[in-house]
Parts: sequence; structure tokens; C-alpha cells
Amino acid sequence: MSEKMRDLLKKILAEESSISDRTKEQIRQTLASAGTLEDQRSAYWKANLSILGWCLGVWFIAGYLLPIFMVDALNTMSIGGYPLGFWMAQQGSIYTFLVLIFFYAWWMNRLDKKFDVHEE
Amino acid sequence: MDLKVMIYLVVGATFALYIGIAIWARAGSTGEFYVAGKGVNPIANGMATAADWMSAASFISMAGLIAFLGYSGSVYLMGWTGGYVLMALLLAPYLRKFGKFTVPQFVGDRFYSNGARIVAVICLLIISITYVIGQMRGVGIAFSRFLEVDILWGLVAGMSIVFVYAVLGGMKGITYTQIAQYVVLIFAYTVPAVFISIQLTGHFLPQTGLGATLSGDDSRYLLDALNGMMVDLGFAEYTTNASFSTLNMFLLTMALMIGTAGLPHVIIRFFTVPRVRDARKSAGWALIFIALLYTTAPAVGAMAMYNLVNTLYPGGVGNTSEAMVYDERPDWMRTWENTGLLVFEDKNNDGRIQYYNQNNPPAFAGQDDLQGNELVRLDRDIMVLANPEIASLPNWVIALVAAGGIAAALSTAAGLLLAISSAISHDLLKGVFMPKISEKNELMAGRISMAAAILLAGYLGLNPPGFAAEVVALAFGLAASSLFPVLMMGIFYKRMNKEGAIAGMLTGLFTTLIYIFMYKGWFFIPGTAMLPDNASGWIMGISPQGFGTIGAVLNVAVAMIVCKLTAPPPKEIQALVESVRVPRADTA
Repeated sequence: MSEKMRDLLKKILAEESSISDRTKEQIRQTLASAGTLEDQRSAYWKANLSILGWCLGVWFIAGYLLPIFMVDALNTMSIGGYPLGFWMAQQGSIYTFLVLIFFYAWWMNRLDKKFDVHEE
Repeated sequence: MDLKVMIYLVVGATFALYIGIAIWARAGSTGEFYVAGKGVNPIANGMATAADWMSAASFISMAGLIAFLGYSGSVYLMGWTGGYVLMALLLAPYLRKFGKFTVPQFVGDRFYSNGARIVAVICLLIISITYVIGQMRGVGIAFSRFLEVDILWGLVAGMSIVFVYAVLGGMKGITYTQIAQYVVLIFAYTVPAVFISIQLTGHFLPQTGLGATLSGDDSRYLLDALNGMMVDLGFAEYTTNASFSTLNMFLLTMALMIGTAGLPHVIIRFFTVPRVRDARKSAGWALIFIALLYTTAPAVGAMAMYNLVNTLYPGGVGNTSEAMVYDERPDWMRTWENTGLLVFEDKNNDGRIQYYNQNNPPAFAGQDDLQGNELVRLDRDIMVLANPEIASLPNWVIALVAAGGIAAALSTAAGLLLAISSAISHDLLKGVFMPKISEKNELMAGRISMAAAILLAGYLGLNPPGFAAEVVALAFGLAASSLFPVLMMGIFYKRMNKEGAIAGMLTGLFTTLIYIFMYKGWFFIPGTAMLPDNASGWIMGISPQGFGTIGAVLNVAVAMIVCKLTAPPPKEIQALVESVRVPRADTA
């Protein structure tokens, strides 16, 4: 990517308010992948931290918010013979944890390839 | 076939299997001894991790704990599984990339300090030794209960088996025996559960059976019936929280989760897979294998409780005049009375056993001349160990449960012993005191410290310190407050330096120890507790079991402050952190 092109993209990022956050993120990643090794590694780490944040958010909802803090409200509903809050605490949370770990592994494998840091 | 002969056959066959594996998987180098040559398939490692993790407590005690706690018992279910999310997302891939042999080694290298490494070894030893005592007890109990041999001989048998495969094979031998032990323990756990679920609800899966209607009465859910029973006997509803405040529910679950993620003997299992992406995936497989037991356990607990109350009140719950006749009690009750884990006392001499909550006596307690609860002692371990007998399952199922209990205890003990011996031979000897030691001698030192650790564990199993019941809280509290935060900061906070890390670890370790000692007695010596161990004595209502969470927060806070006041880590350490964060090896 030429120097001129990079400046243009940076300018768009800084000044253009009409484009969506999603597009901005894509521009940032394009810039990063075209930048120095250091830029790339730092963009990879930021992308990792962002998916970590989302995953830990789900972890907190499934492990604390629903089965502990909101249990009484959820127990007014039921699935089969399980009060919902009780089910979340003794079954649902565990299933969510499982899905989370596999999701993160899958996502990171993609991210590794995208930033060209995957193992041989 | 006679039950005892059957048990000897099944347990003997599993032991022969473990020894066979030990001979096949001998360790020839320190790499094989510490991390199985980093060649373990991620699914196989997941299975070994599950056996490593699921201890005598998970197998024998947890379902009973849940049976008596009901909803409140969820803290253990969520705490001991949710920790894997933290381990898989925040620690395992990075520590695998670091690519060395032990957890204290990471702490020592990352914080460029033998002092930090030694503090980490101390934390590791306290955690692992307290934990291994419980496993040795579990081995002894399984032997003495099922085979009616003296607890000493039970321990000697268990220790000899571990000795053969752990000393010979190191991590390599332990890994492949743990896989076999997982298969034994999961069969032993799920087979009775499936039978009982079919009997009670017609559901093949205990996970759906717990939420299903009772066989023969399509309008009545099992959990509703159980709730009704518990209330009729003066207890709280099974599905509602009666044991912990919401704050302690949160703190305890969190302490168990971050404690799980910080347990060194589990973390080192992820050093054995070939690649970073295998470490990520392997944690998921581990949790699948763990969840098979952990989603079954709540059904086992609830169904055992339901069966027990029905056995005690054949004429309907609370119908005290038709309660179980003591002389006509089932055989399994007679067997367990011999062990002292089940005690009846016919206080009103009516020949029947009336069971209810004495502290909150239900209405019927005033009638029929009742003199108090007559089921004086009911150890929670019975809920799993006697389950096949309660449900009248065939003898081979009972034999399987015996072998499963022993497998669960041995597999965890072996993992802990490896963590202990590698901390001594690799961190203390090779790392700090004798850096010039040859590989051959280091391997020998590893084997000798393993043997010594087995003898120590056996001795403590035979003469358990009076605090056996408290050690779980201690081990998890310390792992949560000392090791987990320092590992996490080592990876996620590049600026963290040795001063901050050491101050943080010591703060977490000592605040948690002191808080537990204040309520449980100094060094668990009875009578030395300074404050009453109940909600009124707890500072801000925080229970000692949940204090690990607070200890972790203090650890991070102190580490941050000290780190800001001292010099940043050297350039090469920052480069080390950079390289740990990226899977590919060529991170120049």
C-alpha cells in the first residue's frame, strides 16, 4: 500500500463521521495488516482483547447474573419441571461455558490466520 | 457372584490396567517426565485433565453436598466448571506458548527473579499438599468401605500403584493412566445415575430426568415432589437458596472459579499438548468430559434425596405413624450403620424412624410423642456410595462404583504429586540451588521427590490433620488469591514488574490465610478461632470460603500500586511478554 493511500485512509478514519463503526474497524485492520510487524501484533492483541471482553461478558451473564442475581425472577418461569433460574444454575451455565470455550478457540484460530501469526 | 469377590475382581482389573500402562509409558527424559514430551493429543489431554481435576470430592462427596444444599449447592457446580473458561481464555494458550515445564518457572522468568519463583513454589506446595491429603483419605475410605480392609492397607495399596506409574512414567505415565481412570470413573458415575433416572422418571438421561415427571404420575414433576417433601419435613424448598446470602453465593462461586484456573496441577496439563491452538481446544474437551459428570451430579443428588425420604416414609412424607420400622430397614442401611456414617436413634421407642428438621420442626413433630429427629447422622458421601444399593442395582454396578471412587482419587493424587515433585526438582534444585545439575540427575531428583511426596501424602492421609474438612476452602482460596492474579498480570500487563508481583502474591496469600485462620482457628488448631464462624462474625458478611475472591482483588491492587512506584521490567522481559501473546514461534 502506498504512503498516499495510507494517509488517505487515516484521514477518512479521523474525519469522516458518516461511516459505520464496522467499516472503521475494517479500515483499521487494513491499515494494521499493511503496517509494520509491531503494528500488526498490536492490532492482533487488541482484536484478542476485544473478543475476550465479549466472551467474559457472556461468562458473567451465564455464571452470575442469571443463576445468582436474577434467580428469583427466572424461577417464576420454567422449562419442563425445572424452574428456569435453578436450571440455569445446575445445567445451563455449564453448557454455556462449554460453548464459550469452543467458540473462543474457533474465533482465535481464524484471527491467528488473518494476522498471519498461526502455527505451522 | 459374591459382592466382595466381584469388587476385588473389578478393582484388581483396573489396577492391572494402570500398571500395564505404567510399563508401556516410561519416561526417558525430563521433558517426558514433566510434560510428557509435549506430544499429547488435545482430546486425550482433555480426558486426562478431566480425571486430573475430578477428585475424590467430585466423585464421592459433591452429589451428596448438592442433595443437602439444593439450589445453594450450585456454587460448586458452577465454580468448578466456570473456572475452565478463565483457564482456556486467560492462561492456558499463553503459558503453553511460554513452553517450559512448571508454573513457578513462568513466574520466575516473567518476573526475572528467583525470589518470585520461590514464593510461587511456596504457594504451589501449600495448595497441592493440602489438596492431596483429601485424595489419600478418599483412597483409604474407598478401600475400607468397600473391601472392609483396614484404612492403612487401603492406603498402602493406593500409594504403591501411584508409586509405580508416577515415579516410573512421570507426566507421560500419569497422562495415559488418567485417561484409563477417566473411563472407569465416568462409567461408574453415570451407570447408576442412568438406572435411577429410568426408575424414577423413565428418562434415560439424568439431565432431563431431573426436570421430568415421576413415573406413574404424569402430572407431578420430580422437583415439585421433592420441594413438597422438604417443606413437609421442615427444610427449605429444594430449588431455592437457603444456605448463602447472595453476596456469598457470588464470592464463593468466584473464588472457586479463579481458584480452579489457578491450580498448578491442572495448568501443567496444558503444557503437554503440541501447539497453542491445541491448548485452547483441549480446555474445551476437558470441560466436555467434566460436564458429563457435573451435569449428572445434580440429578444424582436430588434423586438420592427423593429415594431416601421415600424409604424413610413408606406411608407418605410426614406420616409418622407409618414411618420406616427400624427392624425392617433395608440391607444397605445395615451395612452403612457399621461404618458409623449412618446413625439411627429410636428416641421415642416406637420402633420406627422419624426424620425431620429439628431446628424448624414441622407440625407433625408435636404429635405421636416424638422426641426429636431419629436419623441422627447421615453422611453426605452415602448419597453416591450407597446409591446403587438404594436403587437395588446389580452387584457389578456396586463394584464399579468402588473402582470409580478409587480411580478419581488416584488420578488427582498423581497429578498433584507431579506438580509437587516438579516444583522441587525443577524449580528449587535446577532453577535456584543447583543450576548445573545434569539432566540425568535432575530426572533422578524428580523421581526421588515424587517418592518422598507419596510417602508424605500417605502419612497425612493416615493421620489427617483435624482440618480435613476445611482444606478444600483453603486450597481454592489460596490458588485464587496468590497464583491466578500473578499469572494473569504476567500475561496481560506488560508493565508489571517483579516488585509488584512478589508484593501481590504475598498480600493475597497472607490476607486469605489470616482471614481463614481467624474463623477456623490458627493453623486449624481447635479453640484458637478469634471470631465466630457465622454470618454475624464475618467482616461485612464475607464467609472465609469466599474470601479468595477478595484476596485476589487485594493481590491485584497491591501489585499495581507497588509496580507504579518501582522501575518497569527490562526490555527483554517486555519482549518475552510480546512473544507469549502470539502463537507463532518466530516472534523476533
